Amino acid sequence: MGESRSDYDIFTAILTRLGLGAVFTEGCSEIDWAKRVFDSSDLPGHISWRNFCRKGYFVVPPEKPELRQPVDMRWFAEGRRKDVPEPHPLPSQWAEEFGMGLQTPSGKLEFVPEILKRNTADNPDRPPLNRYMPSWEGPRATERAKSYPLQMIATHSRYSFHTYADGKNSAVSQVEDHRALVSGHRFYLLRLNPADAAARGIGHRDLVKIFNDRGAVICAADISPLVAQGVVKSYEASAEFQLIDVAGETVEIGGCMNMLTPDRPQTQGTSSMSPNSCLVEVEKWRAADSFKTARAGRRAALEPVA
Amino acid sequence: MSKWNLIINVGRCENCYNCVIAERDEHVGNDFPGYAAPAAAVGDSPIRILRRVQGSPPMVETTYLPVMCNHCDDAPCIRYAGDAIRKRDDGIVIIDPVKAKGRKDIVGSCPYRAIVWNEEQQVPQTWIFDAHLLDQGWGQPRCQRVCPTGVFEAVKLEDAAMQQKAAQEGLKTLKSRLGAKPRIWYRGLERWETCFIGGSVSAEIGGVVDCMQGAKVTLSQGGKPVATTTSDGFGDFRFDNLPKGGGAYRVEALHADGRATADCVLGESVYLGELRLIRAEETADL
Repeated sequence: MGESRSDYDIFTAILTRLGLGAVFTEGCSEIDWAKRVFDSSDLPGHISWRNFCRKGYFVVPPEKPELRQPVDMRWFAEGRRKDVPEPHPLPSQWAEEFGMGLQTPSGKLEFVPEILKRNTADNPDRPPLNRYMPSWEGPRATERAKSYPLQMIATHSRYSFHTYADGKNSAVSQVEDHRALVSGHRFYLLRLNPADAAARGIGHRDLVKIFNDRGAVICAADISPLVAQGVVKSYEASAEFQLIDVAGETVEIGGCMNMLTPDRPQTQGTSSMSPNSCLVEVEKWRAADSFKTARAGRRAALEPVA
Repeated sequence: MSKWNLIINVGRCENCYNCVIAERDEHVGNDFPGYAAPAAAVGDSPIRILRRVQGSPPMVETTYLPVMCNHCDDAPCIRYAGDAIRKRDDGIVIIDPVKAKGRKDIVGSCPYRAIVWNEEQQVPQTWIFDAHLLDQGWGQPRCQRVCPTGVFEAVKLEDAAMQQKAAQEGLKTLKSRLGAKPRIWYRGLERWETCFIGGSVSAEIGGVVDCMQGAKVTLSQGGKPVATTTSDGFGDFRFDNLPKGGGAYRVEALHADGRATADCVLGESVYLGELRLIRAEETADL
């Protein structure tokens, strides 16, 4: 349309300017490339280039039944030799006969894995048989839950992708359900249940302090029954990290919930983070007024003097 | 002459903000003379998404309601601002980016709070129905193109035909009592305006508490039955489309395994929780 050009044209022009035009195009126009790809495929066995161009498309016929890929695990279900073309398990990993059975020591599905019995006997986090384990940092971790009674989950964020598109003055940062604008600062949201909010005298969009012995983060409260009582929810992916000192306390106002979550893996001896096993307490931020006054003062100082 | 209308399907919006982001993408830093001055990168959005959460866990219903310029036929902003704002022949309302320069006072004239102030350009701005794109032959505004759940439906119809469609399909406008004649219609606005009373029927049988399917549940007010329904496989039941602040109601659940009642006063929607059935002989013992 208009003066717009195809990607191929654009890259050809750029590479020509870099002195690499011929290397990039190999002397071919767009249609030449289409013909080269056509020739490199199985299509010439089905349709001529001329007819293909005239018709504009070719419907690939369904695969012949005898050529279809074998279905994964069907060989095991039917007690046959493995017929799926993949390298694993390696030849030495078969329990008994090559290609027969699974790569477990017994060659069978193991509800109590032999390998875990052998290798993780000293790891209470990985019992051979799966079972419910109370969280090491959850409502049943009684000592800790006395000081920090709310269970915080810090999931992936909805509107940003990890730290991408968050902060940095982006349009996403202005999404009201992503960050709330209070006194010129966009605070991360903490979602909590009306009962938990009422018990703490917290109103919708009030600034709240979420804290435990690891730190303190300031968020704006988002109150709704979409969160169960006893649980608070935020996101793990803040792109901002802003420690400030207000009223004799250091708090983080960027929304870095990762400050509050445990450093230990979810399951010991594995590579797993634990942003959802975290106990916190939430209170209305007592220094909110000092913060707002300071912000207003700073804004006033920035106004040009008439 | 056919004119533009936008139908919003209430209940389809799931708050993804694609429409808001697309609107910013279209206008931030882009000047469309005669339509709109470049929007500010930072500022209020001309499309807002309101939220309503009804009930309490586990029976919670969330509704998101996109709200924007209604392109009213009897627009309060035009009455207020005179020739700074004009009504096009196709129904679209445009705030003139030149004539409205410096007119921050116009912002307050909209009863729908759909006008935002652009601090950088010193102009009041709205969602212009993407008039600049429609004039180039687009069949729908960007909000409709980017919406993954089909919330928006732009339709170009004669006014009489639109009135008929609205009547047939139960389309409503916001704050219709103001008489501004909006061109943005809402389908299923009951979900935004009315309330529900819900609950879950259970019974203890042989020492086990279970959900009770098929209980006949009656809603009554002042002794008169208002509605009946049947509990589902989870024992859940729900009475919809009740007026906000509707007063005192009684819910009675009847089942072969017993009977249960609950009373409530309806302000906002209520989830009554569990209604545990009591057998007739147990009641007799009391």
